[in-house]
Amino acid sequence: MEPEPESDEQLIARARQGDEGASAALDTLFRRYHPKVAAWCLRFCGDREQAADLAQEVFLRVHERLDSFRGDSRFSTWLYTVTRRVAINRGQAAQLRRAESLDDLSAEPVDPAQDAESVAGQAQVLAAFRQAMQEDLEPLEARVLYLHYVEGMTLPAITDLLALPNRSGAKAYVVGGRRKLERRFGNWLRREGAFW
Amino acid sequence: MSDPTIPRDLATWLRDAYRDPAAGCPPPETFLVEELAALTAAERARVEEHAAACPACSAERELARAFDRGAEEGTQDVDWVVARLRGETAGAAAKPSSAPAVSGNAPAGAVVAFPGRRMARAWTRLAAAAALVAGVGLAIHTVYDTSPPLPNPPNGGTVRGGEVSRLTPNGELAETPRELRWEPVAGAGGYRVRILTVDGTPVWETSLASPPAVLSEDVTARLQRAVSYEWMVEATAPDGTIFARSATARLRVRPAPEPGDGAETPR
Repeated sequence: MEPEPESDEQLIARARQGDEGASAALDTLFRRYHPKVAAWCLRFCGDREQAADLAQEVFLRVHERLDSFRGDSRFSTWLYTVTRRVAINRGQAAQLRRAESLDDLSAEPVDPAQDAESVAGQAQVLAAFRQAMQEDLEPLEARVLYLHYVEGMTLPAITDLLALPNRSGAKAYVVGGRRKLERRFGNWLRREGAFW
Repeated sequence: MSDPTIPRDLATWLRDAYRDPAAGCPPPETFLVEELAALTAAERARVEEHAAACPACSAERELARAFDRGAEEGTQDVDWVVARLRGETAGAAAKPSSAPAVSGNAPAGAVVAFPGRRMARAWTRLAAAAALVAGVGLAIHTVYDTSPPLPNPPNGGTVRGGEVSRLTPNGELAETPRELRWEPVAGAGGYRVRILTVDGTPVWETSLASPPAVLSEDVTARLQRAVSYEWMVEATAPDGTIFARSATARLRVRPAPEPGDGAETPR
């Protein structure tokens, strides 16, 4: 009868002991999660070279921060938070680098009648923004916008993740969603000197 | 009057809107199946109801489900990424690379990735193995750009789509580079060079009149072995406007073997 495989927590405890078994414990733990993280990174990046870099970065961060894992949550949950955070940071950095080309997606005439004249102050603005996302946009448009701008996912990767019908699907949702937000907030944004 | 607290771009707007406690969003990891299962029925119903109406949470739910799905059978790309992580040759064989295979005689040198960490040895082994992936022996090579030469910028104006090309080094390196080179761009008044980690954290940045960008010891000390970095160049006109950019080049210094590991060869 084969022995029960060690739990994640047992492996972490052994890895922290720093003795000869520590390396093997860490190796076992990482190998256990390599496929899961690799698969997620592929879905997030849509490109295996980038996914490999991202996954490498994830395990590097996990290794660096393993001491800070207190065991308050499952290791797999903590791993997901690290993975997601590394991916988002990376996606946002990439987005900054291609900000110029993204700007080409905007520029749409604004309907002054629907301008958000009354919004004032950060809290009200953010609330109005959430309301617009929920009421003005189709649910799928809003979801695509969030994945693209907040998570930093590429349009093809979003298309695959959400199983959109064609490769240009996500881009169409981004353009449509931005147009609707622009319609509601455009004049006000210009007055505030903000931009999209 | 502009309000300095107003976010200035759409990404910040969205991020701030859904990080706002008033949005009522649960932590993203809540949508992992094990976390949902740990909630009471009432809590779970509340979370699901919120996600049904909240674009941010419905997106986070998709990402969490993607993590829960893990690796599905027969996905070659997952196998390839896993092989890269583990330094196995099976994945490397599928890698589209014309680079020569690396020999088992990895370069000597101290591992600096995790100084002072007890678990450094384990990671170093993984990283060292990864470096031995067949085909990973990408020597320093140049990104060849086949696009036609750039026109001169119109009096410092912007030439969209202009490129800075022939960035070197790009790929796997045996040793930490001492300088970064690229093809000078006609009409450039200067260049801005940046090195970032793969998650976009700035490592180093400089502005200079012409290539190469020499890396000081302080900079090279920050470039850890077995870690991938990205670097890029922007060419600026004499008036400071950016008129050409490079593609992103990558560099990664192969890990040094630990004593006694020198005989290790790719499987």
